[in-house]
Amino acid sequence: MKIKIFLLVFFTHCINIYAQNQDVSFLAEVSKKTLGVNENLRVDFKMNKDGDNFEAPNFDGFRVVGGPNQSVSNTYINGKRTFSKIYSYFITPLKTGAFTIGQAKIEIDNKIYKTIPVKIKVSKSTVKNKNPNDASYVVNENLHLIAEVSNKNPYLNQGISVVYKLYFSPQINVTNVAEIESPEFNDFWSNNIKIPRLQIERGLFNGENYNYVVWKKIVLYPQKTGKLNISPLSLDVSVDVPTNKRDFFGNRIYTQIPKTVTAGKKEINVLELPKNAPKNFGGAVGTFEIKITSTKKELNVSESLQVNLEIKGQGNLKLFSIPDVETPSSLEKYEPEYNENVKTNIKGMYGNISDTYTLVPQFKGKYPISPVEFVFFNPKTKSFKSIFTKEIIINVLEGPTAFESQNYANDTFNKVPNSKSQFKFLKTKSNLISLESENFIFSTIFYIIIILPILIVALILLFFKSKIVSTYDLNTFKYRRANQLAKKYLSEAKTNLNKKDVFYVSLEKALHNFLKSKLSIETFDFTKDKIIKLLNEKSVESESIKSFIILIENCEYARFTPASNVKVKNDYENAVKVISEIDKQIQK
Amino acid sequence: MKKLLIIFFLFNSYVGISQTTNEEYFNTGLDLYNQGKYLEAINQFQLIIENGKHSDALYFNLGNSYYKINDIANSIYYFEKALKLNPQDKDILNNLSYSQNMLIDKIDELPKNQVLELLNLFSNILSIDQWVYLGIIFLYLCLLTFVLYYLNKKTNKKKFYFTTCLVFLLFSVLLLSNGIYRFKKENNTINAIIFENKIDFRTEPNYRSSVVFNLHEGTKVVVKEELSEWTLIQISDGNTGWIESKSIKKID
Repeated sequence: MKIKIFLLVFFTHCINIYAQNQDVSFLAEVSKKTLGVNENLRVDFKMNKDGDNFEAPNFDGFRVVGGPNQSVSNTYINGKRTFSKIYSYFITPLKTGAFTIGQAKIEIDNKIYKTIPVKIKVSKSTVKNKNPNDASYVVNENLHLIAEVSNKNPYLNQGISVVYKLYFSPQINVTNVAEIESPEFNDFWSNNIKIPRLQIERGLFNGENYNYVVWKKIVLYPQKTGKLNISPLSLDVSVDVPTNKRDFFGNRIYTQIPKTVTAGKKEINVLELPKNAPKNFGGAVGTFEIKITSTKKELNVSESLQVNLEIKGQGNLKLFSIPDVETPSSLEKYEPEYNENVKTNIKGMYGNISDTYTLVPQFKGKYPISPVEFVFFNPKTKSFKSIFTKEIIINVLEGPTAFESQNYANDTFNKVPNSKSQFKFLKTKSNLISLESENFIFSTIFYIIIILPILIVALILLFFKSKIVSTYDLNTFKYRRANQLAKKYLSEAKTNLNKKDVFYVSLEKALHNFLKSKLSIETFDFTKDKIIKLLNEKSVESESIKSFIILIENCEYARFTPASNVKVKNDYENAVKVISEIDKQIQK
Repeated sequence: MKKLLIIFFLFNSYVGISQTTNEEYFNTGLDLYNQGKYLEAINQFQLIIENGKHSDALYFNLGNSYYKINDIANSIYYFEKALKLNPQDKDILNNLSYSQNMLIDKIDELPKNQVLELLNLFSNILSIDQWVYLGIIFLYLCLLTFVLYYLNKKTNKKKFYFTTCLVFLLFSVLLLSNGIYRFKKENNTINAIIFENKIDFRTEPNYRSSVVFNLHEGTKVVVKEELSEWTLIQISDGNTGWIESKSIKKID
């Protein structure tokens, strides 16, 4: 037993010594140093002694499509053991040019080993290896990714579909598919149609029978005119390719090859819509129908009704807005509620969108909801089409009328509108007048009617004036004048007619005042002689002078004999008469 | 000469027919309306206008008929015409409010001076001609009292006649000036009704200029200016814009 253990230790030691003596090699090997962009490259990092902490280089300019795969082999030839461990990568170039695969690192026996960088030349195109036994050639020939575009020249907002199909011939098996680069649809409205389960179908490709899988379905609505690009879709596919080798049972041995397939770039030329678009065109492209429905046609004031405007059809339903329903302003209208029931299939969007308005009438009457126009572009007929809804008339049966509420708004006392007022029937009396009937105002008749009476009145007055001068003047004028004078000078005396003594004092004063104003004499010179003389100078009749003097004498007399019975009234009237007489004569 | 005679005869007979049959047209119009044949009724009423006759009742009936067939613009147009002849008629105002319910536009009116509004209300009680007639009656009364004043000898009566004369004169001047004011105002403001379903108002009288706002059928506007095929319109909130003249119909 002890010997056995010893031997084991000895042998292992021997191996260790042997291994240690061996030179450590760590190499990078590539399958080819020049290759085309469409080809794959295999890079092996080979070492003859196991190490730790393997670090792969940066594959700048390449993409790793497979690996790292590890393989370890121990071979004994003539008792001589060779060990090798390989890390292998499948890489594919991203572009043409010269690239360097950098250094890989590994730690073996606490020493770090590095590989020598390898230079790789990627050429533009490579002549395909037509060897039918070459696996990658077989893959190239039998695996195709196709993007099918339904219409390469759509109109703006016309729906198109892109279907990506992966074709593979029955010879090969596709085992694993992964999307590595998704297409981008800038300037498109896109909708991905989900494929619940990939199904293999049979189809023809270039006249040959192929299996295919629909990988992706996309519906696109271009939002811009001109040339738009769809970026490609890239798939990473693992393909099992049969080789010439057969296994023990005679079955073919398959090799698995990673392969990147790309559906080429597509350019879509989006056409502009014709210029002659009608005014109300809102961008709808497709085929549509429009329908308006209302929940009620007859209702009372302050009840509500719903009006639903629905657009149904196929086209860019989500990409335009529903036209507005125009209602009379006396119908209270609330913001519409938008409803959308749109599905998308490979042909595009279909379904319906609708706006529901709530309306509340304010007054009694008829409310027409005028037809709504909807304009769309039909890409099949390449023309615009305008469709209308029917006109709906809503009858409001009960409630106040607008006219009444206007009136009652001003009237603060009675705010309860009377709802009895109806739409009035025709007037039955015609009262027709001529259309050309002139306006009365400013017409000649108007002027005549105004001016003529004024003239007549003026004439009448002129006529009467002459009469007044001849008759009226002689009799009544005198009287009037006397009255005036009496009023002026004798007013005080008149008020005192009942008091004798005061009357005469004021009468005398009045007479003096009269003379003063008429003859301009001072009170001091006031003597009878002087009065007579002055009045004579003014050629006043002697009779008048005489009665004037008598009046003055009467006054004096009354002053000195207060008890005497004098005729007060008589004297007053005399005074009036005399004053007017003298006044008249002096004026002459 | 023969032709002239024929023309004269035709003209005469035409006038004769129009005089006697207008009433018939009117009455058949009433009957047709009553039977619900609104379009035929309209035809009858229009015949009367073609014969050169009109009245507020005729326009009112036309407005009613157009209302019944939901022709907003025509209905409002004829109601407004009727109102012009008879501004205070309750029936016309009532039915006009029914038509205005159908209007799509609602224009906020500029705030109005309360006093002016009251005066306008008062001024609208009678038609222009009625005001003028009243004014002339007062003028006559004034002249009469003036004569009486002049001829009377008694001071008391003279005084009385003089003051009444002055009062009458004042009334007469007020009434006449009210009539003239209304006449001037109505002659200077030409109203029109929009007949197009939806119409854009532009900043300039051409299609290149930008759209200021748009209005719908039946809205009443004021004509401000006219330039070839275009008309400058003002709406009651004070905004102005140009539209093509063919899309409105003036109320004259």
